Amino acid sequence: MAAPCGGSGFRRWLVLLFLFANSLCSDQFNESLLIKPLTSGHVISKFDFVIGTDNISGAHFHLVPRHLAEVISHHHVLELHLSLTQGFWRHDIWGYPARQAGTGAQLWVWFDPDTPSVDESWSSLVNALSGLFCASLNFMDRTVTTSPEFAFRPAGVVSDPSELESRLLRVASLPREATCTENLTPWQKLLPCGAASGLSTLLNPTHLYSTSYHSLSVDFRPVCADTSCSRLRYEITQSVTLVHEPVTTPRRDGPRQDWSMKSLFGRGLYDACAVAERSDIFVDTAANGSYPFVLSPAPHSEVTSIVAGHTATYAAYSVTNLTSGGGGVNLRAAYSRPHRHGWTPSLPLTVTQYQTGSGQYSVGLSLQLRNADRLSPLDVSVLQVVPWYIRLYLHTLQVTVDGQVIKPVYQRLVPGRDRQRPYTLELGVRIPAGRVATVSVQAERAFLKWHEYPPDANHGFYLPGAVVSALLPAQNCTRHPIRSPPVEGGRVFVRLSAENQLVTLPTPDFSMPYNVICLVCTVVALAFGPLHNICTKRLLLVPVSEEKPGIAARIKSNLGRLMWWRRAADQSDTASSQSPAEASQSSAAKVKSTKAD
Amino acid sequence: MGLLTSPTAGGSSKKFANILIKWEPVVSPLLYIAGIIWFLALAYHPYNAGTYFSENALLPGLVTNEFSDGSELARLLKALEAEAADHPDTVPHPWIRAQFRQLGLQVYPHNFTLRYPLGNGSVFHGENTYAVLRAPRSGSTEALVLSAPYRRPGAPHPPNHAAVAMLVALAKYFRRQVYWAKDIVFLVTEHEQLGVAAWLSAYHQQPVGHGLLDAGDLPGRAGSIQAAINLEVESATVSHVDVLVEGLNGQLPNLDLVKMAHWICHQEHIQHTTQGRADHPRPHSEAGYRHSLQTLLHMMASQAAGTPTGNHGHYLRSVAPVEGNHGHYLRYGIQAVTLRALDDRSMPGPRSGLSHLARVLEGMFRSLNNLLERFHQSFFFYLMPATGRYISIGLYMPPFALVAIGIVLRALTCWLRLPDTDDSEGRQQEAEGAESDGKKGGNACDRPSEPCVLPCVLAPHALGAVTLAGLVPLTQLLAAAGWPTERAVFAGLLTVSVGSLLLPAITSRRSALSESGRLLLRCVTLIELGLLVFTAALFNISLALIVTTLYTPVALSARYYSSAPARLLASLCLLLVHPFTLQLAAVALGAPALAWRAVLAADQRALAVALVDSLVYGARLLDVACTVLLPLWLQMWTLVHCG
Repeated sequence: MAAPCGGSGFRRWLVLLFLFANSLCSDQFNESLLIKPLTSGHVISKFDFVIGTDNISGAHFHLVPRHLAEVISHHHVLELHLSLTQGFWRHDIWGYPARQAGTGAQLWVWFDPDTPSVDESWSSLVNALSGLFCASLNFMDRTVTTSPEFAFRPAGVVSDPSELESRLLRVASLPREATCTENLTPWQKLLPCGAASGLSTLLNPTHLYSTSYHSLSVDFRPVCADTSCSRLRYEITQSVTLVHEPVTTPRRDGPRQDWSMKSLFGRGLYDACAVAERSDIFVDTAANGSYPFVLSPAPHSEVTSIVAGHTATYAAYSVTNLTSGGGGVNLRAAYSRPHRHGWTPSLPLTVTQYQTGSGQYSVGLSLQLRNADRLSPLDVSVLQVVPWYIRLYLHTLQVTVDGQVIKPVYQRLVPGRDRQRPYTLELGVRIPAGRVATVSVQAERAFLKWHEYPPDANHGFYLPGAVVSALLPAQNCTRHPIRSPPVEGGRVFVRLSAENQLVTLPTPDFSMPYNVICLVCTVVALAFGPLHNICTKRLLLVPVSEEKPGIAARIKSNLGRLMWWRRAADQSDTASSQSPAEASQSSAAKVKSTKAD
Repeated sequence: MGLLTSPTAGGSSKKFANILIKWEPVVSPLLYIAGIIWFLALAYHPYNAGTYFSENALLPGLVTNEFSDGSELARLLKALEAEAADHPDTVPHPWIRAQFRQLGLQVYPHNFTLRYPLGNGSVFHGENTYAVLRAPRSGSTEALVLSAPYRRPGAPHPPNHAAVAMLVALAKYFRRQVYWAKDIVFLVTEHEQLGVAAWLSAYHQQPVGHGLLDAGDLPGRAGSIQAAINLEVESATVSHVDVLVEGLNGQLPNLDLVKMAHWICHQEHIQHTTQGRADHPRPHSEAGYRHSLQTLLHMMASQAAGTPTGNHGHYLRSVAPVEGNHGHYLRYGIQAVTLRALDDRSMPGPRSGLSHLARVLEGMFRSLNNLLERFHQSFFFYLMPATGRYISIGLYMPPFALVAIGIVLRALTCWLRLPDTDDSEGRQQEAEGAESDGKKGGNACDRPSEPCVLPCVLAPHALGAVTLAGLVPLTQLLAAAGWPTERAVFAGLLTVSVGSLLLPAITSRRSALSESGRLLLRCVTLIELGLLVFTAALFNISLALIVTTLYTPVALSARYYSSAPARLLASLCLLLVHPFTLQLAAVALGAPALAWRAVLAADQRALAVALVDSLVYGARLLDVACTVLLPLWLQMWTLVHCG
């Protein structure tokens, strides 16, 4: 921006200020939408909104949402990964996810090594995030939180080895948490353009929540500012992942899996976010070979991305160019061949979890890991967190392949403690080529205290599914053309969630206690009086003496007034010495309480 | 104020004992008769209750069922029938799988193997197909099952192609709906209940059948199963839908599910029945009472059998309707019913089409889909005298207790009549009595002054256990000699039954029973019988009530009669209630028109089937009959014949 010469001093000052502010402000914002149509007819769409900044703990923010930044800096957070997910990522149909997210809410946070108390920071952080995202994250207390050693390593830059100690990591998930618009609205408010313009206008709740799978996430991590990594920057990535069921349009020669922005999101796109440096739409054309489709409008360019030896091509659009003509743009794909169901990808690793056994006492958990590669074994890392009320019998933990017990490469077991911490199992398993390894463990269902049951106690209790990590070929991953996933040894790092489990705990009949309490109270009330009387009281006759007591007797009686127990004993003596007739004549009889022997 | 304090104390127990000894012989029979009358009265409309929904979340019939693709259903049925005709010896799994796969469902095979334990021991292989409709936005934590057995053209049962076709048509319809919150599993099984038992065993990885059934593993699962509907459709036109409830060992599904099945049939204007019997139009009339009493007795006969064996040609088949495959779900805590759609010519009223039935199923699944918690609200123990009426455990237990209380009272009287001298000895006897109760009277010999009843108690029990354990080796042994399994089982049980009649002669030769010994044996026998019937009443009231009704009179009168005609009469009565005779009678009752030879053949078959049920599925009827009922009977026989 050129400063106008010869203007008034005030104007010059204003312009200088603006330039100064701009140079100070390092914030960058990119938005992108990746659409990946699958051969099965499902359409995966992933929105990414990335804010990069140099400073997270300052007092002035440009694009970074201030309330999130304050929560992050106040709690000494190095990395934060939050996801709110509805539905289960069916990797056996959809391939591997770009970002793992277990059904429900999942949060994992790395804290700064200088944090005074990680536990206190964590507990304060989950409460703050709970308010920020309108989710029940405050239930992530110590009974569900764990610090695994292997499964959740830092995703960003680690500047010091002491930052890798697992005591700084907290992982928790709430498998029962439901995600809805109440979470979407605060999430959208964190975006620089909110829901007002740009790609986030496509996040239309009615269409968003009729998909098969949707996941909101927020990731905060440190990244390198330059190639030499001499300086750190921070990156806040907000993303939404959606999987749309195949929608087929009938044609004369068979149904077609045509899709368009209107069919997927319910509306077209009108503009890009004004503060975004880049605003892109990518369409993965990998499925174009088996089911050719034609995009309209035509793509602006083609992007090729090579990750771990695997080449993926994308049709790329710049939203600014796309919407420059004014009016809405409806990106469409028209297929030339009829759609057929039944296609499934051939995946090197598939994971499925289930519970075994029946009844109210014992339960088993099994995790099947299938290595489809017939030539080489596959190393996977398994993390299983089990709430304390499913009491694992750790001696029954075993890994079997075709009925043969094999030894895990490593294992780390942290036994749970009632009402204090969950069981944490971490295993490294080498699955032989072309085999299925089964990790199984037996457990006992605890009988909870009556107030620990939720209102719908008979619904059952959710167990978070296992998290399985492995290095896999890049073929079946949903990946972004620009931001590639972590690669190691020519393979891509993939983290997967297994199915959550719904386990029935022994549940009391909650209508019964009421009846029992009423009945018992009545019985106790009726029985207590007589029992108490029988045990503690004796029926005594106290005669009223008619003759005038002598002086000695008067003194004795006065003394007796002081020592009432003596008096009672004396009177009983007197009573026994009297004849029954005399006793009946006496007009007054008193009942005295004496302690029964 | 005297509450909880005994009005009498000290020596008055003697008085009470004398009253009991004096009046018990009169009271027990009276209570028995009163109990039976009371129980029979429960079938009368005003004395039982109407079924209702306890589980509000079901919201049955609040939506309009919309399935209307009758032509697709007819096309599928025709195609399947053609496929079945082309492959009469196998199940057309490829066709079924292709249908489900075309709909975008996840389709899996399941293989299982049964090593038949009896006779020469052959091996059966079977294959099931199941398809899972994944509910959108759910984590596959809950599932519902719709299952149908596939029947080959030559099978002894009516074909079930329409049910399989309906599964496919419903899958297609369900696939387009967005409201599912639970995964839906469509299961097509082979070999009738064996397929279902194997699939459930594999799903829960819980072995059944003592290692005889190799259920294998499943390639895919769908979370915890909340409810299941088993479907049998015999023809394309439907006169009525029969709702089958009785499961393995007399387990029953939650009454809410049963009510829902009847209610949705009612809403869709399809005639619905229980035990194959529609409701009487005037339940208050005498004819109406007789009608519901018969329905009740049918249900009891079917529940008492305790085996979902209808598909094998159960001996009670013609009395009770064929039991469905739902019986196996119940043991895993999965509430399930079988809907059996029939075209019965004798049933009046309009006929419905298959799409009508499909709407019923749609309604049921949409209702089940609404469930927030497992079925737990309503009754699990009930008897049904009509489609909309039930007798709950609270109603049937008092009359049952009256019928059975005579056994306990008589046992008490026998105990009190045992000669005792003074208080301290009496207390000692009591303590020992308590101990001997616990061990079925086995410790009676500890008292040197008492005659030894130990052999009279132990020998029958040992015989019963040996009989049960010996049946399988016997069939294998006789198979080598060319005997068919059925005849071997029958011959084995007959030999034991006849041979054991000589048991009193053997046991009493070793130790002759005195008067007090006989009293003690009576007491022990009665206590064991009481234990059996009261325990059985807690999970299979029908079986318990039938056994109690038949055994109470003979148990009360089983003692040594000095006059020969009386002894003969008592022996005859006892022979009439011998477990073997009862079983034969049940078969004969089920097939009243058959000749004795055919009844005998049916009986042989029924015994073999009961043995297989016990070994493979874990049905407990034969086990209980051999190890408890037969020894009890022998003890009574000893009582009559130990002069």
